[in-house]
Amino acid sequence: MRKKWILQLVLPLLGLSAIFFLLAFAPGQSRNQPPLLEMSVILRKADSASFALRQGMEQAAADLNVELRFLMPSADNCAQEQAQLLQRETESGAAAILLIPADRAALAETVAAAAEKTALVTLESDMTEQGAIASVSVDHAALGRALGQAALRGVPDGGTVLLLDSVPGDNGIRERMEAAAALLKEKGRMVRICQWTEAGWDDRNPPPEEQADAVLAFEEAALEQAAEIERSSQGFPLVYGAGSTSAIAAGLERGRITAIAAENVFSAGYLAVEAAAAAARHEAVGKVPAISFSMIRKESMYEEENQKLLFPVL
Amino acid sequence: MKKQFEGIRRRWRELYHRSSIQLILSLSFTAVAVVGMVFMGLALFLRFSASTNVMAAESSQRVLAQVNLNLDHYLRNMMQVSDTVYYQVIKDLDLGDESDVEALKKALKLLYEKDRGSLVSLAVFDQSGGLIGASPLAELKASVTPEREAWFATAMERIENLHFSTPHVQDLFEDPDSRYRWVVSLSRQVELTRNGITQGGVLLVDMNFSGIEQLCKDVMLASGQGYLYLIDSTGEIIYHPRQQLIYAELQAENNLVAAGYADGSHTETFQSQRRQVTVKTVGYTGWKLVGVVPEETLWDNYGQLLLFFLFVVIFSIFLLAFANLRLSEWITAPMKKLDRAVKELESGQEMVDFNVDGPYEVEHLGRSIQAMVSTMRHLMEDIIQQEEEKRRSELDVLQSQINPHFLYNTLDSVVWMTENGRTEEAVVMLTALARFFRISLSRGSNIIPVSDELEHARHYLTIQKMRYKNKFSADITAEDGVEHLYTIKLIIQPILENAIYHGMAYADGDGEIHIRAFRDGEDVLIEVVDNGPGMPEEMVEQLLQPGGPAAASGAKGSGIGFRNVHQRIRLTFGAPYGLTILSEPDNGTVVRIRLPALDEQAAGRYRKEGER
Repeated sequence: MRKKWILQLVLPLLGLSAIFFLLAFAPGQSRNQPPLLEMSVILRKADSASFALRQGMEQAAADLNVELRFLMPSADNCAQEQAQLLQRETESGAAAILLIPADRAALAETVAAAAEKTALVTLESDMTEQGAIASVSVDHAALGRALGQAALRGVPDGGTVLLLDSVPGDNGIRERMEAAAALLKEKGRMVRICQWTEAGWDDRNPPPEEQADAVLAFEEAALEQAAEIERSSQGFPLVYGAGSTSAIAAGLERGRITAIAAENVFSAGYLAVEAAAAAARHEAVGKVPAISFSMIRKESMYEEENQKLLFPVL
Repeated sequence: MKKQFEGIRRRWRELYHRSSIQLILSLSFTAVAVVGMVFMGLALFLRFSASTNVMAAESSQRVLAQVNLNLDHYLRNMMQVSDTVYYQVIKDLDLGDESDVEALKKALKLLYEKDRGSLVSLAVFDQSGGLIGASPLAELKASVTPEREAWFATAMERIENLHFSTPHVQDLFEDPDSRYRWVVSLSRQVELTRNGITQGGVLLVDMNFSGIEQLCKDVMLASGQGYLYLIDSTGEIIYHPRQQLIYAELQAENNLVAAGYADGSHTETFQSQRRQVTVKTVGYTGWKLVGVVPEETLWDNYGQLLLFFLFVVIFSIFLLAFANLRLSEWITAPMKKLDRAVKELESGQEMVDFNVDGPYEVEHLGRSIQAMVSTMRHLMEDIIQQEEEKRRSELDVLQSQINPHFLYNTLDSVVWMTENGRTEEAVVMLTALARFFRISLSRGSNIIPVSDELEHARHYLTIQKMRYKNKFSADITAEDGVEHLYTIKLIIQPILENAIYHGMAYADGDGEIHIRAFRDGEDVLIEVVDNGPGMPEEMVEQLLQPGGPAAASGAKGSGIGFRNVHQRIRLTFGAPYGLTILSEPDNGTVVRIRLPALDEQAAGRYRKEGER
């Protein structure tokens, strides 16, 4: 009788009381909010990422409850230091890592090792073959060809185009350059590749303005620098390049830069964090589509869509 | 459909017939209570949900009204700046005079400084787009042609109005710092005086977009689950908390549809998400503030509420089920007791209590059953008595079958002896006959001592030996103590009759009949052994079968006597008792009578009513 009483009344009563307390005092505390995820972002440059890229990342971080930790090498494009940072972050148990690789060849082994332990997504340079879960980048070859195509309009047949090789190593920037070079050569232009660092032109190369009809820079820093050089010279090399900073927009507006390929870096940052967070949370990560870019000239820079691309509302 | 319904009905009926009344009562009570509670709960929940929806809409409207107030204040401020420039500066100046132009520039600078947090630039253009004065930057970009700008054209087309643009990058002035700022332009047509001649112009006030952003950014809708955005009359987004995501096409907004909504709350489905949308039109501009609250956030609250309701319902169901179980147990207890009493009755118990102590109907049923049982018992006793009497009647009939044959034969012999002068022998025979009948009658008693039965046999043998002229000899022996036991009467004589007619009738003075009575455990055996011709086995087997063939049909002692005796013994004492016949052709016959060893007291049970 006692056992029957316990089974019939006491046990269900206890169960229902437990449900009541759960409902009454903890109603969906973490509703729709995934647990906080710490994500390390290993940049390629020593002085942080572009503003829009960072804003895109931070917007995604806010949306997805991710805490970002930005890590920069002491020198620009230093793959060895990136490898060390990647290794350190992997060993310290980072849930997700976002990497902007400086040199795929130098980082291949470290990336492969890291990808086994953590959710690794690369930005700008595709390293999915090395084990990265996803890669978020513009179609570099298409961007390079678009820049080459733009340069063809300003450089006569047989003219010389100087390509600034500003990011050494195997990476997405190089893919752009190689695609542009191939197109220009194919169309009968002379192509010269010039090593470039923030410190200036490589001593082994003569100054570009004396040698070329056009200069092509394939990333922001080189393009900004190229625009400055052009302004101070009397010659006539046209400047084309990739990037969409305020300085580049000013250069474009003042005629120092002839045309730019502006990619949607905000989207790139957002999608990269989104993919890495999804991977870290064991959600399905599909192939991220290539980031769009637009060729913008002075006369089209204030068109509605280009305004949004060049001057993010942040 | 009909088959399914029939199937359900059949299964329901099977379940109904298998279930106890307590279970049916419990389930019925609980089901009715649950239906009532669920109905009540749902009604309350729906009512509450509707109220919550209304409250959420009202809350959104209040928030939007407050933002609208702030925005209105902000825009009014900008319009005041514009009015001040126009009515208090431009109207008083003749811009043909260089000093007045300088005064205009100075005034613009002052006004800019006063509201520099909200303003990006103030500028006055003549009707051909020439810059007259501007602050803080005063140099137009070489590439700029103001008269082609939308704000300029709109102002010149609709001169009586103030015109607000959608957000755009301010691109008019050379900025040494290369800053590109998002602005909302307020433009109006103004009348400029130059050398006494009035001509048209445009006054431009570029408001910092961040000012509008600040007003809308931190607005909380539905505890932060909702958001607010601002669109112009065509649906173009002016502010959206995720504006860059929308520009990057990573997110979409239903702004073009929202532009068509009237002020108030609406429900829409956008990208498979139901949302509560509240719209408020901003004065002067035609802009619309749109508050969006995804219904799933409301449903999250409803979900909690629903869970709570569900919990209350489950809890109540549990308590009800328990209470109903107890209640139905109490109600059905008398019926169960009655059912148990009937089962006890079925199992053969005699003393069954039908006093179930329940409500009137059940007690009445109990009393009725008890009365019925009592009546049945009496009827059964009557039937048993009648059966017993019938049995005894049959016995008497069987017993009475003996006498006529024997009496006829004996009297026939006496007549024959008397006719032949054998008076002494006739006297002996008649004496034996008289004693034979005295024992046969035994004062009507059916049960007599074994000694009387043996005496009866002796008299019978005396008569028959005389009739058959001593063709056979006979002796009777009895074990000590057996003669005092009791038996039903007239069981030896029919066997002797059979032995004589079939065995001794043809003997030539060497016929023998031995009668022996002795104990066999709790039984008494009386053996009648003759040395007659015996019988084949198949005849022996059939001799005691009811309706079996007679030894010699129509003859005396044809076997009827065997069966008669056998049936009488079995009717009186039961199946274990009766006759056993052992016989072999040419080897005589042994008839063994098995009886219970009855003393006088035990024999009393078998006496007829009134026997002594």
